[in-house]
Amino acid sequence: MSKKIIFESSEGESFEVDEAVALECQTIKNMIEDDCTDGGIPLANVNSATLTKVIDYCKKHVEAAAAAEANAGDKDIYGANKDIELKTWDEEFVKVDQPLLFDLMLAANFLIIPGLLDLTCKTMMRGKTVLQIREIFHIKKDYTDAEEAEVRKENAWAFE
Amino acid sequence: MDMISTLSDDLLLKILSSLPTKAIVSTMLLSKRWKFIWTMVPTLDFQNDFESSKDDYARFRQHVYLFMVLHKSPLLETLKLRLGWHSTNDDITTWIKIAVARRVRKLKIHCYSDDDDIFLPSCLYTYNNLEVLKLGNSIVLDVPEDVRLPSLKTLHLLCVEFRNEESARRLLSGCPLLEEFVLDKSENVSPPCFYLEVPSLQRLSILDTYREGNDSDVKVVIKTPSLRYLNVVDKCDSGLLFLSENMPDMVVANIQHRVEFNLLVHLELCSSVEKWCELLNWMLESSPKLKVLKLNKCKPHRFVYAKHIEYPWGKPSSVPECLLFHLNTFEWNFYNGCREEKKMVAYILRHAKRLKSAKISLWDLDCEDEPHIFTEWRSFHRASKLCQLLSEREPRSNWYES
Repeated sequence: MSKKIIFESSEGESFEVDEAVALECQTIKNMIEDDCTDGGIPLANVNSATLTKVIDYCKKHVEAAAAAEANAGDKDIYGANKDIELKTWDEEFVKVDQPLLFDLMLAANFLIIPGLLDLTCKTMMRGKTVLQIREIFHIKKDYTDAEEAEVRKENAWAFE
Repeated sequence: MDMISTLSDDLLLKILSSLPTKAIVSTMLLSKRWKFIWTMVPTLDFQNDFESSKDDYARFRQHVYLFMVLHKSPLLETLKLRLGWHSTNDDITTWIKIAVARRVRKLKIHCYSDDDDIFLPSCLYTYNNLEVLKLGNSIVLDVPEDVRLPSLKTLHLLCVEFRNEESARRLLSGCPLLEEFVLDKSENVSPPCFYLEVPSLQRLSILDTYREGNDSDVKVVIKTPSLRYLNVVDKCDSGLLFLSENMPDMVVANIQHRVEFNLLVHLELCSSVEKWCELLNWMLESSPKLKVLKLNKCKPHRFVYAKHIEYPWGKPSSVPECLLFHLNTFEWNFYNGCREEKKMVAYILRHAKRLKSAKISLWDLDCEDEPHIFTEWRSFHRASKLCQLLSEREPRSNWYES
């Protein structure tokens, strides 16, 4: 029976996970090594919905790593990881609304889960134009018209 | 302020790094917070369509130069350049020099220059911080005597030209930590003989899909004792072979005896040449820890069908250790059940005691024989009672390179 780690979300809800799953988070790994995980780990800035997704991600990647080990690292001829199933899973995983994606990125950053941080950062703006980015993230333009004209003029090469 | 603009610069840069460089720079228009963020982004990806016109290239070129001049990040993580017909040696050399000055760690350059051979600047060959180097197409490697790439772990050379055999040897001997090497020898531009002596190498892929002429002395010699993964695709009739004995004089001292791949666990071979069976036997005998063996997994290339094994196959003199103790996965694509192929499959099933899964897939062409081949496949004696047998028909769409 593997050791369990208990996470507590910002709402005070408890989540029990296998130690192997928790070890996917570098922050938690350090705490486990320092032996300060008894009585649960409070995550005051991660809510239950986000934590559920984070745990899903870690579980899936622990399983996939074990399977890859068994298959002696099945990669394609150019050395890229051939785990198409996992790639598809990741793509589906980040098909969530913008606020949740944002929370996932912050959680991955805080818990130090490099794979999840890369995945969420990559998804955040991919394929979007500046206009779309402004709209989706509610970025308010604080340039005056004159200032914007100046930025455009100074950097005309960038907007050709 | 909106949520995203309150993020740390580190996170914003990570988010921006996934955008093409042209999009990154235009984020300066978002707000004052974003005005200079783009100048710090650590990953640069410049793409010029390979068929683009001379005017397009002139604009692209100006864009790259201005971006690099205004870019302020002291550290460059990655520089990717994908360049078309009109790219020139002067431009590429300058961009690489700038990247080296910014201590770039990963460099990926694919270019299809029309009128110029592209050479790498000599400073790159003695550059301490480079970890990944991927080069493709119109690049010519004229490697100087002094090569020191002490951090290089990954090297991909796809259809690049070596000025001479010495260039290949010098380059590899200057990479003491190299772990992954992908070599595409297609397009008849690599030297016919390739000597690979890299003690640190763990993963090796060699592709040889097309060559004009009839070089009978084409060979790749490998001495890579740390190898864990080997993938060979050879579609040239003139053949690619690995030699362990019978070395030309210049490497005799090191590779007189059989090379052992004591760590190799994963092997894919794709070939149709006469020496293929010999190579397979040789690899089985030299790889005592082999777990995964996949044959003919590549797709037929350039409208040439995968060929059946027509050359007589003789079983190894004694049962290879990997069959007795380690092999758990065996796969053969484009299997057609002819005499020699049958002999090989039967031999492997009869001796592989640890086999968990064995799979053949047939050509769609020979469908009359199909039930017969499948019945026969299931009737082979199996050393492993736990072995799961799988069989399928290769879909027609898989015949050609996609």
